[in-house]
Amino acid sequence: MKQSHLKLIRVGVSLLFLLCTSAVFMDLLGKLPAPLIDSILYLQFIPSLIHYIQSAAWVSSGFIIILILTMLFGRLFCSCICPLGALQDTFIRFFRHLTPYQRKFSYQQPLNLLRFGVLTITMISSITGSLLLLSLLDPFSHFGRIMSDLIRPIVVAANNILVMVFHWAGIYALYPLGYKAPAALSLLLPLFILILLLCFTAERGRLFCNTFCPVGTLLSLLSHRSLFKISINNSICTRCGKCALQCKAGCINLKESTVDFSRCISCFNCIRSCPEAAIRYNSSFKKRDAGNHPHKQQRRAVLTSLICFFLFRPHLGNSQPPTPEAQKVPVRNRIPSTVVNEKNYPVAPPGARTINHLLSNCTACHLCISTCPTGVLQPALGKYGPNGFLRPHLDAVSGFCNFDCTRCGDICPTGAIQRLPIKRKKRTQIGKTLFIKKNCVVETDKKDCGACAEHCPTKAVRMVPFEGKLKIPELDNKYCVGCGACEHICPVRPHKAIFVDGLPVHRISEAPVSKPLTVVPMEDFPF
Amino acid sequence: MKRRQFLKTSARASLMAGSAALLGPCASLLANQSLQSYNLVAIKNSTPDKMFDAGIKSLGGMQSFVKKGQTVVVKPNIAWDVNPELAANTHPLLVQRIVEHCFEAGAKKVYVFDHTCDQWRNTYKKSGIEKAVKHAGGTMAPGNNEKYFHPVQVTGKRLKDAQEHELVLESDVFINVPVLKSHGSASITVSMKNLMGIVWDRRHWHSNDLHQCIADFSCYRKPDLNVVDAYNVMMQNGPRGVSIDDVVNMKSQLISTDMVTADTAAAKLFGINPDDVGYIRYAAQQGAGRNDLNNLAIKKISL
Repeated sequence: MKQSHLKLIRVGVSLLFLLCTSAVFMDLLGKLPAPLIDSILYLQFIPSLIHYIQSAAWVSSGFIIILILTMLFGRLFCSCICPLGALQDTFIRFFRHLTPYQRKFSYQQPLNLLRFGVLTITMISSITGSLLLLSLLDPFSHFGRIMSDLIRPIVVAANNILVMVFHWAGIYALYPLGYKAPAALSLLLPLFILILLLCFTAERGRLFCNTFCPVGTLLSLLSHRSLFKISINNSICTRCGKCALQCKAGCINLKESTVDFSRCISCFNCIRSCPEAAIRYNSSFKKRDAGNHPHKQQRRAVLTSLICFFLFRPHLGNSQPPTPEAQKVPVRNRIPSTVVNEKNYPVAPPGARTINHLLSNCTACHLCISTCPTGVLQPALGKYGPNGFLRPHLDAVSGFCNFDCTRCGDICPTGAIQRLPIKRKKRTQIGKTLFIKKNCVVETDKKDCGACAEHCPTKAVRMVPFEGKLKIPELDNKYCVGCGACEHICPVRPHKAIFVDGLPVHRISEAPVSKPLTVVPMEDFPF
Repeated sequence: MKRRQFLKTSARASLMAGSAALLGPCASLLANQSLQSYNLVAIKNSTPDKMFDAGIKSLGGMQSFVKKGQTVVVKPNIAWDVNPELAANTHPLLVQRIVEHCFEAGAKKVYVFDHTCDQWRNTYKKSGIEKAVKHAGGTMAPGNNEKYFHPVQVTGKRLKDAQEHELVLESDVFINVPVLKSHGSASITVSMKNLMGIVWDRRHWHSNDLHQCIADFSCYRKPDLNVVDAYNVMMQNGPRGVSIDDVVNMKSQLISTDMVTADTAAAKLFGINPDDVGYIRYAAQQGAGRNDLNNLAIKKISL
């Protein structure tokens, strides 16, 4: 294998990972089987790390492979596997085509205080129980949110336009997809990151990877002393400078003929660009790097925090009670309902076990939100408190939890939402339901409704005789699973007559039992 | 003499004509019954497809309802994301057989859809109806997007307007295939309640006197044929059901062109008094159909 082919291989592998990871987030029809999604996301660093801390197993050991890979070959992860890296590379390529001249990069000083400072603070805050900072810096989560919150609505719109065309021709093979929009404010963060990355890549290539990315900085500690490195052969090098012009990380210092391999993201652009083949990727035993270690102190501090991160994971409760919300829809029932729905806790998805568990393990990548077939999962703004910014919760206005579905737990990459077998999921109580008689249309209008009892999959709410021939809902919470079907379908506005309040610790509901039927065999038709 | 002869001849002729009218339905002398002869056909003791074969034959075959080159829309009950044994949806075998009959009668295109309650793609699949329809050569159409529903005037007592699915508005023939089951608030759900699956905003019906809205809509939209699936009947905890213990294997079926007749007979089959069911009472009063089973021509078939 010629060294100049390294770049081609890198491009191929990174495109493969970009496409496969994008497909996982754009699997709007839910057709990809969960084990396939697990394989595609296996090597993503932060999700795998979090999953491993929760339950050490082969299935969550992807990050260990990345650590070994980096120790041997350098930061191949950053160029080949990280989807945000591949996305940035497409931006760089785009900018290159945009400008009339070839985009030129140049050597940049390492911003060690910034990158190690960010990494240290992130690790400390993660150890002390808040994943907020990590979720704001993790490249996988950023990629997920950009895909799920910004790209998904575009894909849905494109699909629906195509459907209109097909439908005009009488073909029903394609069908319109629904899209339950999250709160507009939750879109600000991925939008901000997208614009930030566009600015960074336009001027300085992979600047994010060597400043704010905690994975990049962590791996740089290992790649600094990796087995295989990129280095310049001084006897051949003509100091033409072509390699430094192409270096997306700005780590080739021609004055001193060194390559700061800790910042190198292994894109191999330099090797391809050298006319003399003076810059090469070879074993570090061949050529000792004479560079100094300006960041030894920071490295020690970071490694200590890494060990602490593994050992100590205290759980701190940080969910604050949110303010009650009224439905902002035009009133349809005759008398607008009066009693406000007071909710103490948001409803966490089944499999999250407890709200604390969700907040301690979720990095808000939004894969569950993207894949939820009813669109009930939505990113929370303040419902979980500041630590729960953009974490998923069940919003009964948007949808309800389909009784036979376990999709969110099946695909969660960090294990924040655990995989539940379907029988167990049907008995997992994620919330308790409250019925407000004063809001109910049977009480106020004296007319039959029954929508809530219709939808209840466990008949926790059932219709019982009321005044005259009317029937009114009656609730028995021990059967309730908190799916929110009743709240979703209740026609009353602005405050619903039946709603779900989240449980901070999920429970097991009682199995619904049917009364035995006394069936009289029919001899003849009764008419 | 001519005038007297004329008067005698006319008197005799009118007497003959008048007495002929007193003879009763002559059509009953013919071997092949026309669809007007039976108001209701009730079949029992076989599988849904065989029962339908026997039942539709008594009404003159599917050719009486579907002409060559027409488009048909079949509306079963595909509401809940559950397996067929739980009887929350119409039996897939019955839907398959109906679609097959339509094609045999010469239909150009047969669409099947419902505005499901649960997530629609899962529901179409798990109910077994999507597979059955594809097997018979029909087309499953989605019913869960508002753009498919167009505003119509209903001018009922409580229901003034609604949004109706375009397939029902545009197709030549509309076949309603409900499943008989208990219902928490409507007592039972049969053909008239099944029509709630062809409109978009059901919530409005629930918050504005459900029974009256059902009756109003049944005065407005009458399907060409109603086939009530009473093979597996959910006797309690309807309409979604909780477990298989709620289901009775009744092995029956009712076919009628009149929804009120079908629902009245279905109520009796279920074991309740049809007059206790609000929407059946209102619909009969408003003239949507006939509920006086004693005066109607009923064909009973036991296989």
